[in-house]
Amino acid sequence: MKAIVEQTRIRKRRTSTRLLVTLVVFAILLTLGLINLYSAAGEATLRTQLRHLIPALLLFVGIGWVIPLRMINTYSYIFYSLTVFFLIAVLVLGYIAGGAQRWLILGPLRFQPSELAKLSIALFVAKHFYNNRTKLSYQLTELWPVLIAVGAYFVLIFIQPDFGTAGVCLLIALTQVAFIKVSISRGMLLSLLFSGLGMIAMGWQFLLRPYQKLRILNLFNPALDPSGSGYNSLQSLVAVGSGGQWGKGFLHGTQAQLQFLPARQTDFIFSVFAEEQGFWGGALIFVLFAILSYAALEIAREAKDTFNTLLAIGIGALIFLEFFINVAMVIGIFPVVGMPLPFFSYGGSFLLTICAAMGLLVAVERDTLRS
Amino acid sequence: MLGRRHVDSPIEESRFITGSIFLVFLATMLLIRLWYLQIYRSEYYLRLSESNRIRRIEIPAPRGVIFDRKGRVILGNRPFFDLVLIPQYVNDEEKTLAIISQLLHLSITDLRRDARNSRGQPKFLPITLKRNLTIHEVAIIEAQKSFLPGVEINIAPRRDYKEDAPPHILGYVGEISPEELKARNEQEADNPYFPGELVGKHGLEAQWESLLRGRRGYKYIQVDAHGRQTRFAEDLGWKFPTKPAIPGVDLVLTLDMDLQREAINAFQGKYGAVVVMDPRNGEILAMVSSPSYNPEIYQEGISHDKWQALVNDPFKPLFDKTTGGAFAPGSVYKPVVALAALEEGIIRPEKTFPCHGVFTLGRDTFRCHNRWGHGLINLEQALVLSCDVYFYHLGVELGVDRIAKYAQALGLGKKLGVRLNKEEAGLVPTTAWRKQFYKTPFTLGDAPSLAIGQGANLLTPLQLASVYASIANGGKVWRPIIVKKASNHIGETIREHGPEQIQEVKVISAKSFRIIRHMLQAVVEDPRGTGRRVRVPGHTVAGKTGSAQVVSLKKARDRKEAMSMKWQEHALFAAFSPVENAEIVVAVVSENDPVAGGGREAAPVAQRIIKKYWESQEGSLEASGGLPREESVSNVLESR
Repeated sequence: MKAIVEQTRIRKRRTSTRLLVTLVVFAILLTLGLINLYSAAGEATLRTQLRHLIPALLLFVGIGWVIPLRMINTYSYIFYSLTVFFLIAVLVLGYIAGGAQRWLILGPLRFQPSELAKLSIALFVAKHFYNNRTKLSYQLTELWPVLIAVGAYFVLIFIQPDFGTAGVCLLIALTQVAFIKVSISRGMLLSLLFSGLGMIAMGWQFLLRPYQKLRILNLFNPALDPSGSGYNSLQSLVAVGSGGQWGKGFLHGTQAQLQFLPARQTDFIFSVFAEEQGFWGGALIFVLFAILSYAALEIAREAKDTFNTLLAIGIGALIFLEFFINVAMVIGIFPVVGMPLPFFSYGGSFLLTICAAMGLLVAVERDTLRS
Repeated sequence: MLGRRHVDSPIEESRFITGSIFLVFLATMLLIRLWYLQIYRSEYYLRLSESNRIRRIEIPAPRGVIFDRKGRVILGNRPFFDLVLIPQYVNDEEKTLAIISQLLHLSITDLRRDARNSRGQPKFLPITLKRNLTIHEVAIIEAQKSFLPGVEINIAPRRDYKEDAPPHILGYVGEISPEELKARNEQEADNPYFPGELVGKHGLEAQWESLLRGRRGYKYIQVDAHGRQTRFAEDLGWKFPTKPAIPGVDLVLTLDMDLQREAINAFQGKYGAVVVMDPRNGEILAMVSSPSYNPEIYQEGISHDKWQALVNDPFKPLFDKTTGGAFAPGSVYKPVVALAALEEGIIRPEKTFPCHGVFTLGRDTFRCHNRWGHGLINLEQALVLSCDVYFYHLGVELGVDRIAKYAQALGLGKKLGVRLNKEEAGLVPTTAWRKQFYKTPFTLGDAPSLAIGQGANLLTPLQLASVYASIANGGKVWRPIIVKKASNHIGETIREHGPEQIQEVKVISAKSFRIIRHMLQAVVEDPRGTGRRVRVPGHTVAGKTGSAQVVSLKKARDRKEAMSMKWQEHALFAAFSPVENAEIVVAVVSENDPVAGGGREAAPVAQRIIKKYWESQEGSLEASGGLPREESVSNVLESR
C-alpha cells in the first residue's frame, strides 16, 4: 500500500515536472520576447502586442484548462473545414499587404487564416490516425486522405503567396506521419525520395516566383544583390555578428536602433536579440526552445492515445520548426522565407496561434495526468 | 516506457529517440553557426556595423591668409556655399538633376556630366554640382529641400579676392587634376587631397601650397539607415575622435599695398610690367604684370571656353611678365656699358665723342635716335640725352665679352632666385654663347647694337630693377624677396626670409657707381634729360629711360631683316630714389607702347610710385613723431 502511494507520488511528481517545465519555459520565452520587442519596435508596438496578449492568454488557459480535449478531438475535422473556408475566403476577399494576400478582415478582427492552418493541420492528422486505427502498420496507399488534406492547405497558402507557412504546414504533417508505423519497402522509399527531388526541381522551375528564387540564391551568395533582396540578409548577419560574445546591451544595438535592420519586429527579431544580448543570449534562447520542444516530445510519448500523441508532436514540430527556420534564416543558413519567431515576433494572429498551441500541449499533458 | 497507449497503437516508439537526436542535432547546428558569426567572425561584422552607422565628415581647412608688409590683408577667406549631391541618399538621380537644373538655370548636360564623372568614388562622398552659390540660390534650394533628398549645401572657406589683389603674385587656386592628385598624395599621404579639391596653381598659392593649404580636420557623426544624423551616440556618452581643421600658414609679404595700388593705377591701360624693390635688402614692394585676370574664375570652376580665351589671348594675361618676360633693355642698359667702360679704363667721365647722328663701322651704318646728332658730348651728356653714337663708340672699344663681364657681375644673365613664378634667366650675349648657338661668330658690327641694349640682350623687369638696385646700393645683388615671414595658426614663425646677398660686385669700384648715380640723377634733373618726367619735388631721383625695338631672338639671326621691319617699341624706365642711400627702385616696362620713348610713357609711372612712396614715408614719420620706423631702422642696420 505504502509502495503504491510512493509510486503514485513519484509518477505524479514526474509528470508535473513536464508540465512545470513547459509552463516555466513558455513564461520565460514570452517575457523575453516582449522585452525584446520593446527594444526592437518601441513602446507603442509593445502596447499593441500586450493588447494581443490578453485574448491569446485567455485562449491558452481556455484550451489548456477549461475546454475538454475530447471536445477538441471531436471538432477537429470541422475546424479543418472552417480553415479551408477561411483560406479560400482570403484569396477572394483578402486584404493585400506586402505583395501577398494574407489578411482577412471580419468586422473589427483582422487575422491571417494561414496561422490557423498550422494548428488545424496538426489536429487533422492526429484525428485521422486516431479514427483509422489498424492492427499493425499503415500501407502507403492508406495515407492518401492525409496527402489530399495537406496538399489542399499547401496549395491554398502557397498561392497567397506565403511559402514559409505553406512549408511549415507540410513539415508539421510530415513530422507527425514520421511517428506513424508505415510499412514501406526500400525500393518504394527510394522512389519516393527521387520523386520528391523531382517535385522540388519542378517547383523551382514552375512554382517559385523570381524573388523567391533570388532569396534562395542569395543564401549562397549574399553579394548577389546587396542593395536589393540580399540587403535584408546581409544587414541581419551584420547585426548578429557584431553582437559578439556578450552583445551590445539592451536598447544599444546600433543595427536595430538605427533602423539598418529590416523587418526587425517581425521576421528578423532574433537579430535584435542576438545583437544586443550576444552569443550567450542567443544560446540561451536555443536552449529554451530545445527544452520546450523536448518537453513536447516527452508529453507526446506519455500521452494517453494516438490523437493526443500526434497532436503533441504536431505542436512540438510547429514550435521547433518555426524556431529553427526563422533563426536559420536570420543567421544566413536558410533562404529568407516569411517566418516569424514564436514568442518574439510581433503579430496578433501569430501570438494567438502560439498560445493556442501551448494550450493544446498543456491540455494533452493534463489529459495524461488525469488518466 | 511504452506509456499507457494500447499495444496496437500506430505510433512507432523508436521515433521518439530519433526525434530527440534530430532536435539536438539541429539546435547544435544553429549554435555552431551562431558561434561562427558572433565569436569567430565578430570583428568583421562589428566593423561592418560601425561603417553602417558612423560617418566621417571632413572639415575643410581655410587656406593661410596673405598680409602685406604693414599687416593689411591682401588675400583672406570667406565662407562659400557649394551645391553638392550625395549619391547615397539620392532616390532618383535623373529627377533630382532635372529639378536642380530648373531651379538654378543650369545646363542639365553639365549636371549629368558632373554626376557621371564621380561614378567611381564611394557613394557617401559629395559631388560638387555648383560652387559659390549666391544667397538667393541657397534660399531657393533650401526651400525645395524636401523634394531633393541627397542634395546638400556645403559651407567651405574659400578665397576672398579683393579688387586690387595682385593675381600674378598671389596666383590662383583651381581644381586639382587627377595626375596632380596622384603625385601629391604620394608625397603627402598623411594629409591627402580629395578629387576636385582646390589647389594652388600659380604664384604664391602654388609656391607655398604645402604650407598654405592647412590640414583638413574631421569629425564623426552617427547616422541612421536613412542617413539622418542621430544624437543617439552622444546620448550614450560615446566619444568619437574629432580633429578640428588646422588653418594654413599665414604669409607676410614684403609688398606694400599702398605702392601696389599706386603701381596698378599708374600702369592702367598699359601692357607690360612694373617692379618696385627696396635696394637695401631686395624686398619687393610692388609688382604688376599687365594685362591681368580675375583669379576668382578658377575657384568658381572655369569653363573650357573662358580658359581657352585666356590662354589664347595675345597679351597673355595669365603670364607673369615681371619674372617670366624677357625684354631687350634698350637704353636702360647704357649705365651698365658705361660702368664697364669706366672700369676698363677705356674712357674717363670727361671723355667726349662727337655725335653726327650716324655711326659708321666698315660697311654698316648705325643711327642715333636723334638723326641730327648731339654734337660733341661727354659721358654724362650721353646718358642725359641717351645718345646712341657715344655708346656705339664704347661698344666697339669694349667688345662683346667685356660688356658681358660687367653685366654678369651685376647679376644679369641668370636667375635671381625669386621664390615665385617661373623665372627667365635673360640673356647676356658672349662670344662663347654665340659660338654655341650660331654658326658664325660675332663680328665687330655686333658690338655697337649690344652696347645700346639691343641685339640679343634680354632681361626681365625684375632683373632691370635688380641692376638699378645694385647701382643704387653700390654693388650688392640681392635675392628678390616676396615673402617676409610665414607663421602658423598658433603664431609660431615657420619661415623667415631676411635679406640674402647672392652676389657682390667686386669688379666695379664704389667710385664708378657713385659717378654713374650722379649721371643718372642728371638724366632726371637736367632740363634736357630724358628722365625729367620722373622728378619728385623734395627728393632726389636718378633714372634712365629706354626704348627697345621688339626683336625676338630668332628674328635677330638675320639682322638686316629685323632692321628693315617697322616695329613698335617697348618703353622702359628704371629709377631709384634718393640718389645716395636709395630706398626704392622702380623698373617699368611698357610693351609695344604706341608712343614709345621710355621718358614719355614709362617715366610718369615710376614718378607716381616714387612720389607715393615718399608720401607714405612722410606720413608714417609724422605718425610716429618724426622717428623713422623700427622696421626701416633695422633694415638700414642690416644693410650696412
